[in-house]
Formats: sequence, C-alpha cells, structure tokens
Amino acid sequence: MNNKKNKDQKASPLGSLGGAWRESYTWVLLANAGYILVFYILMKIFS
Amino acid sequence: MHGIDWIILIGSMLFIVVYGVWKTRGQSNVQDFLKGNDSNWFTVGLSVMATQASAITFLSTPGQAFHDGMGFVQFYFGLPIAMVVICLVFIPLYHKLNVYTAYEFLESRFDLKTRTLTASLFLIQRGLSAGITIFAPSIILSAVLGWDLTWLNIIIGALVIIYTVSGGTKAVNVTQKQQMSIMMGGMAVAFVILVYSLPDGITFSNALEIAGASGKMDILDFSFDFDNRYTIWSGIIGGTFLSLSYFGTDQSQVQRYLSGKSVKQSQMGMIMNGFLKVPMQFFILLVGVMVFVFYQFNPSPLNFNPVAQKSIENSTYFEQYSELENENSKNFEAKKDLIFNYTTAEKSEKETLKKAIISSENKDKELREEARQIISQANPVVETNDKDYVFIHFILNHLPKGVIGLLLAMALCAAMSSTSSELNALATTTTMDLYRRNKPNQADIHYLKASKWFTLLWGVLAILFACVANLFDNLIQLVNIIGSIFYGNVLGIFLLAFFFRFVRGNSVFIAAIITQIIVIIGWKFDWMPYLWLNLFGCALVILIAVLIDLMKGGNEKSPNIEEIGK
Repeated sequence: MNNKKNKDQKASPLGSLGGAWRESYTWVLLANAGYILVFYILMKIFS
Repeated sequence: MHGIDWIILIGSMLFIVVYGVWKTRGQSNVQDFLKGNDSNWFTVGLSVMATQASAITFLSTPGQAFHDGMGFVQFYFGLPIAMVVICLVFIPLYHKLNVYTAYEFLESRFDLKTRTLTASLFLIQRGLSAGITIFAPSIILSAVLGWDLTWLNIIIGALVIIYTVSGGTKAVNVTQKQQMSIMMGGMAVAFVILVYSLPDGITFSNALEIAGASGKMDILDFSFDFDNRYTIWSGIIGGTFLSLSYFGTDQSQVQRYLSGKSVKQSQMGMIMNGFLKVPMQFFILLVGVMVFVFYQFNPSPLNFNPVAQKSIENSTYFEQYSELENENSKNFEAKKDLIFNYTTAEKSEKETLKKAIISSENKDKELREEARQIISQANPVVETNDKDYVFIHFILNHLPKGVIGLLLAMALCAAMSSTSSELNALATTTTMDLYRRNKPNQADIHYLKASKWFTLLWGVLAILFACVANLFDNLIQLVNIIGSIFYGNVLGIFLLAFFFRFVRGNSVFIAAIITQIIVIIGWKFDWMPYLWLNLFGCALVILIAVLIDLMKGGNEKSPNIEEIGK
C-alpha cells in the first residue's frame, strides 16, 4: 500500500477527520440550505 | 463567422491540445499516466467540475430555462450531500487501497466476477455517454457552418484523443483548468451582454419580474407529484443518489479525485464542488432566463432549429407556416406592449397585466407547438424539439464579432473536457479491470502502451457512436437517463460492499444481473420518472442480494473494509 502521501488518513478507512473537517462538511450542507432559501425568496419576489 | 471568431476558436483549440501534450510529455510509467497523484485541491475541484460540465450543460441548459424556467436547478440539491458522504466514506478507502479504479475495490470485497460486471456496466454506459458528449457540439457547428456532421465528430474526437493519449490523467487535469476558464468566462460575457441589451428603462430587476410573470422564476416545486420530473424532493433524494453514484462509483469522476496528492487534497476538491455546483447551475439557467427576456423585446423564430426552418421553406407547407409566423409576430408585439406596461404599472394593475402576459405566453406556446406539428408533417425525420438550439441561435445572431468565437470555443472546451475524462477513465478501467487482470505480470511499459491503445480505441468508438446518435427529447436528459438506468445498480453494489458485511459475492452478482434487467424493463415501460430509477435500482439490488444471502443461510463473513485495507 502506498501510504506515504496519505499521512492525514491513518486511523480508519472511513476517515476519522479532525473537527475542522467536520465543520467544513457542515458548512457545505448549510450553504446548500442557504441556496434553497435564497431561491425560495427570489421565487416569492419575482414569481 | 468573422475572421476574428475563427482566430479565437481555432487558437483556443490548438492552444489546449498543444499545451496538454507539451506539459505532460515524457511520461514513462503507468502510475503517472493513469493516476497522476500530484494534484492540489483546486486542480481536483476544477477537474471534477469540468468533467461534469459538458457542452450539453452550456448549450442545452439555457434552452431548458428558456422553455421551462429555472426548476431544473432542483436537480442539483442532492449533490452537496453526496459530496460529504464521498469525502467521509469513499475517498479515504480508495486512497488507502491505492486503487486505480473504483471497481478494483470490489474484487477485494466480493470477487472477480462482481468487479468485472461492475466495470462492464460502467464501460457500456460511459462509452455511450462519451459519444453523446462529442455529438452535442457537432450539431451546433454543423448548424452554424453547414459542415458535415460526421467530419465534425471526427475532428472534435481527434483533438481530444491527441492530448489524452499523449498525457493521460495529467493532460486531462492541466487542460481542464484552461477549459474551465474559457467556459465560465464565455458564460459571464454572454450574461453581461444580455443585461446591457435590455431596452432603455428596463433594469435587471425588471427582467426578473418579466421572467416571473411568464412563469420562468418558479424555481422550487414542493409538490409530491411523482410524475413531475423536477421537484425539490426528487432533487434532494433522487439527486443525492444520482450524485453518489456518479461521483462515488463512476470512474470518470473517481479518477479525478484519485489524482489528488493526498486524501485531504482530494476531499477539499470535492468540498469545493459541493459549494460551487448549485450556484454555477443557477447562473447557467439564469443566462437562459435572460435569453428568454431578450426575446420578449426582439423577434424570435417559431422554431430555433435552423434545419427545421429550412425544411419548411422547401415544402408545400410554407404558406401555412408563414400564416403562423404572422400570428406569432402579432402576438410578440402585443406581448411586448404588455410587458412594458407591466414594468411601469402600479401594484394594483400588475395582477391584471400579469394574467394578460400569461395568456400571451400560453398563446406563444400554442403557436410553437403548431409550428412543430407542421414541421413534422413537412419533414418527419427533422428534430422539432428546439431546446438545444435556443442559446446558439442567440449567440450567432445577437453577439458581437469575437464573442461568437469565444462562446463556440466555450462549447468545444466543455465537450473536450468531459470527453477527455471519459476516455481516460474508459481506458483505465479497460486496462486495469479487464486487461491486466487477465494478463498479469507484464512490464510496466507494457501496461502503459496498452493504456494508450485503449484510450485511442475508446476515442474511435466514441466518434463512431457520435456519428449514429440521434437527438431525442433533450440531450442533457438523454445523458441523465442513460446514467439513471445503470447508476442505481452500481451504487447499490458499492453500498453493499461498504455497509452490508454479511453479503457475499455470489449473491451480489446474481442480484445485480436481475436488478439491471428489471430497471431496463421499468424504464422501457415508464414505471417512474427516470431520476427515481437511481433509487429504485439501488434499493432493489440491495434487497435482492440480502434476500439471496439469507436464503442461502451461509454463516461465513466476507472481509470487511478494515481488513481489505491491510
């Protein structure tokens, strides 16, 4: 196995990532919810 | 086309091909050629986005917005959710196993025949899609220049083959940066020109109001109508499954993030895609809505397909069609007046005017439908669905010199970026999952040469398929339909591998074959909107595999994913 480049991923194949990573995942989902909210507002204004 | 357009178009194409070949020259091993392994997160993110964004995305999507409004954006709401799952589950495992393809993992977890079956399903569906990816821009250029469609397919395919055979994964990645810049730059220029083309006194906000009054700003649909193709529910649920299948198990995408130099770089690239994909699609649809507004103030043909128009001119239906065109002109003038009044009206008058605009819009739709029927009578084989021709009609007839060349380069870049990823992935899967597995223990250079030959072979097959492909309904939907027929099954196999430890290879193999047959029957007899076939295929393969395994009553456990990595 070539693990020399994958130092940040040793513990588990499911990838036990640090807290900062969990935060960025949360932000992606929040951004998605935000997009839907913005589209809803745009639809209410212009439709 | 003006000389400056030709210079921009040909210059862009040649630059990308030469840059791709030059930048990746001298590769001497199969690892560099097929994996790359040295990209940072930004390159991974751009490459993932450029692979998904084909010419179909840039030409057909604005046409979709022109006719049906912004609702198509809901299709992408599941993508960010899928990105999170892929970052947490798929990427760490693929990197740990140091695999070339996603299907390699399935042999470790199940058996060789499951790996071969899944790889073969990928080769069928991606091989067909590669042909469509080349076919889409060929139609445009043949309509523009009157060139032979077959020769255009060959030229576009050959340009991609040159740098993909020469530089492999690295060539795909480095050229996609330039291609993505041209694509987004082209759309931004078109958008700015559209905004500045609005008549005096009509602001951008007015333009959105006009689009809204004509029903084009119905972005979200919360209904539970199963027959409605794009609702927020089908987007989030069906879209998540489709994105999971596409990004998690389709080698053309897996190969992009496996080129990241570490797990973290690959994950950051996918997160970038999760952040940017929905706004990017929204923007492309918004361009389509602005094209719609533009044609509320400027006359448009009853059918945007130039070939359809030409068939009428040479037929006995010409007079009947001309009457329809006169009626369309009257309706256009009346609607234009209504729209001007609507933008300046008091709030109390707006509702009445809006109803009049909707009525006029319905009249417009009726006339276009009648025109389609007359065209079909005049020439039964011509494509009357003109969604794919709306944006290109605007580009050719209303954009200034130079910009036309830029936007044609945008369409070709989009086609080339997707096709190169597809050929690269098809060659990798053929070499690693089929060829090397059956002809092991050869020198590295042997597999490198085989990879290059397979890239060439798939390129030629894609060109051949492009030459026989016919438009039906809408190109972007065609690609998604082909994906939905195969993806659900493949995703189900991967989910079984990840989360159902007790299920064994034989059960999965039988379940996958039964599922694929049922899904194809379901699609043929229209059991459900195609997007739901992903969920259906995925659930069905899991259910059948689990049932078969329980009926066999075996106690032995398959290796789990922790053990596989050791």
